[in-house]
Amino acid sequence: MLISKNLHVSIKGHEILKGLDLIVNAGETHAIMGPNGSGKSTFANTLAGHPSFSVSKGEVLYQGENLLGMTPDVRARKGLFLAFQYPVELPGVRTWQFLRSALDNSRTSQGLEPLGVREFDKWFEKNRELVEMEPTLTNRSVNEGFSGGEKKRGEILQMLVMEPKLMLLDEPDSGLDVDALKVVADGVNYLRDKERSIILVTHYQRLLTYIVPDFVHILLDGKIVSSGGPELAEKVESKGYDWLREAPE
Amino acid sequence: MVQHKEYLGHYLEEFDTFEKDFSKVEPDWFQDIRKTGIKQFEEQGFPTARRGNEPWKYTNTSPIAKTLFLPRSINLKDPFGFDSLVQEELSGIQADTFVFVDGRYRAEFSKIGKLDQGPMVLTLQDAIKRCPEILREHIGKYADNKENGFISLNSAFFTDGMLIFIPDNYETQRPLNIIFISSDFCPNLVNNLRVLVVTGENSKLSYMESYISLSRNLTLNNTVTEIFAGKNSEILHHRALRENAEGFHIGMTRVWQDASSFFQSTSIGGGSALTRNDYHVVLGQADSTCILNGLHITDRREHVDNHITVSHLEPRTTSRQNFKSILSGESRSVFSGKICVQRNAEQSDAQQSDKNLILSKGAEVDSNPSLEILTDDVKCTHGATSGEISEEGLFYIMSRGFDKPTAQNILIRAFGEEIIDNISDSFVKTYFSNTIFEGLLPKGVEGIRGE
Repeated sequence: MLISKNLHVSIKGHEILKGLDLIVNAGETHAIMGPNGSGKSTFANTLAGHPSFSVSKGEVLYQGENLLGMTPDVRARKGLFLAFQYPVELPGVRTWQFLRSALDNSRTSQGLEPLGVREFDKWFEKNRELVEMEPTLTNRSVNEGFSGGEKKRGEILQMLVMEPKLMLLDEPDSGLDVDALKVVADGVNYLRDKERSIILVTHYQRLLTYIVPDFVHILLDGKIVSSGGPELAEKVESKGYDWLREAPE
Repeated sequence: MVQHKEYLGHYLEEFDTFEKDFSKVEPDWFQDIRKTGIKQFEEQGFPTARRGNEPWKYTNTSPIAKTLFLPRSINLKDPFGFDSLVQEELSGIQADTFVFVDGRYRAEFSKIGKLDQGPMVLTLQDAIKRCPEILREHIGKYADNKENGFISLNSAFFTDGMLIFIPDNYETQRPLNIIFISSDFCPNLVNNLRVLVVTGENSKLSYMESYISLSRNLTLNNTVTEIFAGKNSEILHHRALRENAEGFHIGMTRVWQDASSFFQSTSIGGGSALTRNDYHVVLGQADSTCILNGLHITDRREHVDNHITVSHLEPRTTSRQNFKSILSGESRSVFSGKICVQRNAEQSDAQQSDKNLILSKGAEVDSNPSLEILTDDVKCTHGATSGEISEEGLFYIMSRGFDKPTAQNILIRAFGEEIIDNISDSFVKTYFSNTIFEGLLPKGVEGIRGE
């Protein structure tokens, strides 16, 4: 699904990722953990094509193609989805309409017929109920006036509607209470299957009790310094990151 | 000053010729309006951006002064197949529509269903004959010749226009539509158009003024709209501007509101060489409310000047100003919004907002909100913002699979739609959204409309 080789990324001339290697196969869920400033969000945003991040070295293959050569919209149409850490408010852009156009777009580029209004509405409603969002919220403009938790659920709603192949979740747990966390996790788990892959960026082990990853990677100072199973996350939870700093590899 | 004399001489001469005609047909009291107008114009001339003349600081009227405009069209025949253009333009419109071409009423283009007894909806030329008492009572009362040379020039020369008189307790069921078209027949034409609206107690009116240029010539639409909102009446007023890029549009809207009246005006349009969208609303009695919304979409070297004044004279009056501009090319938008709250106007509430979306490096915005408050017990806020398309918003939309031009369009449209969404008349809303807004929306971010 995704191969990142020796990826170096900088923002405003400051190097954040310093040779990140990662292989994600279809159906796998990878959690990337690390302290603030280690480059977790940079990695997720670079994969989605955020224009502020520039790649100075290395390559990323997505389904065998050069991902870094694609504009963000092409990446999305090929099934990559970033759930933002800080979803952007779009005043005047209606949520329902926006998602309908987005799905039409994606289906058309896959050679599928767009859904009819009623069909889409059913699909939308089903997913809205899954993430327990009030219709009054989804009748509004995208993310406008949403609380932090509502924005996160909104991202999951968009993801459920779009059914991406590779899901990038950038700290989907930040600022959530336990109930909301469970809703977000349920949404993600709902989409997990043999075909879809997940890269989950998080600070805390807590989320990983709800979304159990196949692999956990620790990112420190722009590099993955340790990889393992879910037990690695537990170790980080109890011991912090310092032991990894002292004895890398 | 030589120039000043030159155009004055021109308009005085035109007036003398004009007088020979109107003196035969118009009653004395009406002729007096014209004579007062020309006298005042002779004293004032066109307003200039000279120091101390704050209201015209950002509006360069010298291109208008330099062109010796003809105040009357000379040809009403149609040798160029222009009529079919007009027909096409009007084809989608369902409302009762009054059409004026080059300042004159054209019955053959107008579509007027059966209007009820009671309201007087007439061209001014008809109104002079059929209800002179209404005209005599109201015309020239809200737009003061002394205020500036455009108003006095209009008073001297207005060829025609509309009277809309709504009696007490009457509600219009459908919006009335007035369309002023500039044709290509007569180069250097100034259309002096006058609209007078009077609503009685507890009445309701929705109407639309559209200014459409089908001309590539230099034309000046010099319009004066006078509105009296009676006690507890509701007026939904709409202005649509589709002038050509070389033309000039000077639009003076003067409103006086009686107690508990509600006036909402939405103006939407493109630019022109110079568009002045000039409102003065007087909240003349207690508990009256006005909402002034505007959206202008400009390109090339167009200039739009929104000059808005709201005067709160009495207690518990409310006003809202919400203006937006979308600018491309080297166009320029000016917002001068003033709120005056007089000593008597306790517990008044005024808000003012000016937001600009700048799509090109060459575009420029001047925003000058101002407050003049003479009492303590009021709530007033104002704010102005200008910015480019947000990079974060663009990335967010692109990350959902939309290419860059589409993502830009989504954001541009969303920016403008707030103004459309606030139109309460659903017929007008659809027309403004599908015809005016859609036609003016930039097709990308650099270069934009047309070329």
